[in-house]
Amino acid sequence: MLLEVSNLSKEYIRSNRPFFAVRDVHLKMKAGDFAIIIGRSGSGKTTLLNLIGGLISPTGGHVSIDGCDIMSLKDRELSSFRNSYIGYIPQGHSILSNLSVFDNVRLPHYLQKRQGDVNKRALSLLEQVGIAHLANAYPQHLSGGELRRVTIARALMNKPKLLLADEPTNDLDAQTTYEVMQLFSDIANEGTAVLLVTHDLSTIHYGKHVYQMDNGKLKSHNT
Amino acid sequence: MMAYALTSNRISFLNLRKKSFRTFALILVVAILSFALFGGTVLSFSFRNGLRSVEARLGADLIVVPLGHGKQQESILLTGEPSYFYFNKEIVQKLQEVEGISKLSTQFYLISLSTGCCSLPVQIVGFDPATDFSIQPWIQETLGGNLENGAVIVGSDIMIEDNKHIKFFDKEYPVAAKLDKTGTGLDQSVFATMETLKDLYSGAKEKGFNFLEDTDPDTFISSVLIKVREGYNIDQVITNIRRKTDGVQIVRTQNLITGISKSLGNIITFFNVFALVLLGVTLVILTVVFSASANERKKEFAIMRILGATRKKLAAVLIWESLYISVSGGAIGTILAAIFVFPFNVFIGDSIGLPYIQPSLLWIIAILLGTLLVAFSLGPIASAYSAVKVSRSQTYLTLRDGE
Repeated sequence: MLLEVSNLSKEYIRSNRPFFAVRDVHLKMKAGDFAIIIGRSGSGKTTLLNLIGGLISPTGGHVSIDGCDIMSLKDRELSSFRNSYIGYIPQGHSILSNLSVFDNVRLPHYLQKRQGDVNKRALSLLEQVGIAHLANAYPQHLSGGELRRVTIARALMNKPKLLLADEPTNDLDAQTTYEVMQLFSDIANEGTAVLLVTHDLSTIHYGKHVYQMDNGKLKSHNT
Repeated sequence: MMAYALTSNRISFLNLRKKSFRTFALILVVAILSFALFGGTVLSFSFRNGLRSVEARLGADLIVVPLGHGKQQESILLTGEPSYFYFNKEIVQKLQEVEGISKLSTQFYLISLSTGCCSLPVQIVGFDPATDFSIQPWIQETLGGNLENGAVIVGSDIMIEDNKHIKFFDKEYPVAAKLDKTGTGLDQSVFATMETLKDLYSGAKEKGFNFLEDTDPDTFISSVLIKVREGYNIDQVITNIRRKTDGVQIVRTQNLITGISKSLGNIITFFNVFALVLLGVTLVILTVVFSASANERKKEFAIMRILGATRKKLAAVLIWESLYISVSGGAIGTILAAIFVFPFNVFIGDSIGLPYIQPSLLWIIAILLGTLLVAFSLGPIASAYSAVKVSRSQTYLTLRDGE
């Protein structure tokens, strides 16, 4: 199993009262799986993704990726693990504005010690997401759809085993949403597990597994 | 496609390049500080050296001159402004009777012309080798012996075309040596024994110097240099001189030094306060700008963390940015200060009216290294707080804050 989430909880104190953003979540994914989690705003989807990505610490439970309990890792090890195993597409525009498209895609390669032909890989990814002609452009000159493709290419740079995407079609038109979701399907078909959270119900038919998040609890969604 | 490795310093460089105006402004701030630090320190060292040189070269405790010519005597010593004044040699006999005087020696002043008869217009100082205690030790230091009659010795600022002869009143005089720089008016003077001076005087008289009427060096002198006997109070000796003489003015050399020292002290105090304020202001500006910049770039740092950057990596990016600014500003400021200070050192010394001797190369290198050390460390010190803050922040929270 590539991803194993068990009894995962995240509790916050809100207005002096405990509040569970994520409560006892269990989730398993194999390589090449494409899972979509739907839910209303504030249901805990992003928090769950951040817990799986090791960006925040859980109150309880475990996250294991490719057999590694990420909670046991120290910050430095976790950074290295995230860099190697997880591709993360944050919500909104998350491109570094001072770097070109090409450099944005290459960036994950240089954040940890790594070998390989980074330039060839970056160009090939840009071709894969259909924006190779924009390699030298800067983010401020790109459309929303193009920016999203850059973040996808960047997330795939280090050949991650798990791709996490937070509302990747949030601000895209129908045609671009279709193209982006098609890209995720292709990525999953190539063997990378894709976990996507969204409140856009029009995208759920792309997922092999669909879950619903409600008040921090995760359950299977009946399509 | 030409692509550099995206190391921490490369990312910093790209960040700075994209924010070119802010980068330029910060480099300018550090450059101004470095300019002031390096330039100011070299200047204050040069003035200090000048003061030491004046102390070492004046030799005499008192200089007796004709009444009303005290200021001119000071100008000859401090700025080298050529001047002449005379009084009867009889004064020497009176002074010899004054209690508390250990040594005394006379000098005769002449000025040359800027016309074709002379190489250049300068102060010519004639001294009596038999009694001199002020100029001869200095000449011996340079020449390794006494100055022969018929030859002259010149101050360090006197330029001689063939380095061997100097022309005064249509006659060539061999130049025995050039004295070391003192940073005083003595650098712009020519020295000769009384015998040589008499020859110069004749030449000047032949040229029709009407001011030389009845001022024969056998009868007249310009000044009497006095060394006070050990154990005697200078003020008491001055009172003794006044009791015995009329129509004279007494220049107290210590007052000259005190005057210079006071002016120098004021300049150095002003410079130190200015440098400290500038250092503080620069540090505050850099800290505020780096802090504001780190704050507005929370999202950028959160994204890097999400992509797998360690906390150390984020801090390194910020530190590299500040280092680029510090190094560029420090280097530019120091180079500009060097361009300003070194070629114009004579002009600066003259403008401020204080003796000026540049420090040795070793001292200049030490000042340079000190300035660069301060400038280079400013950026990292100013960005340290932001770097720690950025590296400690929670990724997810900063990502949300940054949106």
